[in-house]
Amino acid sequence: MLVEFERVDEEMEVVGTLLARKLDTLNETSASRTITSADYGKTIFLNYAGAVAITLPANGAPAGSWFEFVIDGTDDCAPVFSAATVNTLITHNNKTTCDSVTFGTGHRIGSYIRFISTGSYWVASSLSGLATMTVTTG
Amino acid sequence: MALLETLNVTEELMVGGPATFKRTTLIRDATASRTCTAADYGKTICFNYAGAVAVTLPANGAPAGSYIDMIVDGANTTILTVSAASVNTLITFNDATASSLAYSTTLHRIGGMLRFISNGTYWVGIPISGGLTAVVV
Repeated sequence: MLVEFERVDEEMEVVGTLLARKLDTLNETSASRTITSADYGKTIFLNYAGAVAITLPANGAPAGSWFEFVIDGTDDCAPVFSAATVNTLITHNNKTTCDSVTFGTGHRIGSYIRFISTGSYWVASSLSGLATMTVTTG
Repeated sequence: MALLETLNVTEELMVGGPATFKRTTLIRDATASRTCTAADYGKTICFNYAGAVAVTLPANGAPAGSYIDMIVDGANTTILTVSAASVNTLITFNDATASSLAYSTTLHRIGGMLRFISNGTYWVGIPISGGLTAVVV
């Protein structure tokens, strides 16, 4: 079956292989962004030359909802990814006191981070093998 | 729910609920060199040649979101180097003007994983497997 667009409102299961040629991307060039459900499933490039305030959606997003970021700007691009509610972001070695995560200087260019909802809270996972993610606690 | 054997979506697929994909599309490459093309987008390429492997990315300017994953599943003798088609244009860890990524350090090769994503202008090279499989920029 050959179609140009396909929308599945509920669930799709592919038993064989899936070949997705492209990720669904956005280019964020501003200093702040509040993530919404419209961003779920997307890869967001960040390249603003300065501090970038990213606010996650409220907790309680459907389990498995996800979005991710790639920093393709310079080392001046300094995003801070904050939970909408303090002390609720689950991340490396912290499940009760994390407010936000970031990448310090020297660890920004090319860094890659994914957020996945457990259904209750957001989990922040750095997919950057070389970059160190910094955790801010409340 | 519709049951299909194959579905070819030429533009966009949006799944509002969970999407379960049992398998990725994987290629095993046992040769010493590969020049990636648009045919490789969305695929996972496993390299296992016992020696130096020279991989060249597609030219810059691939559609934003195009991506290729690469895994070293050979031996410690599989020395993977992935180079941009144009020098000094690869964006990667702490370097916006790199030329290549390589698993050149012995005992840091098997299991190494790289993802390359195009931002529409350049390729961003992301060493997903860190720590135990150091990659050299």
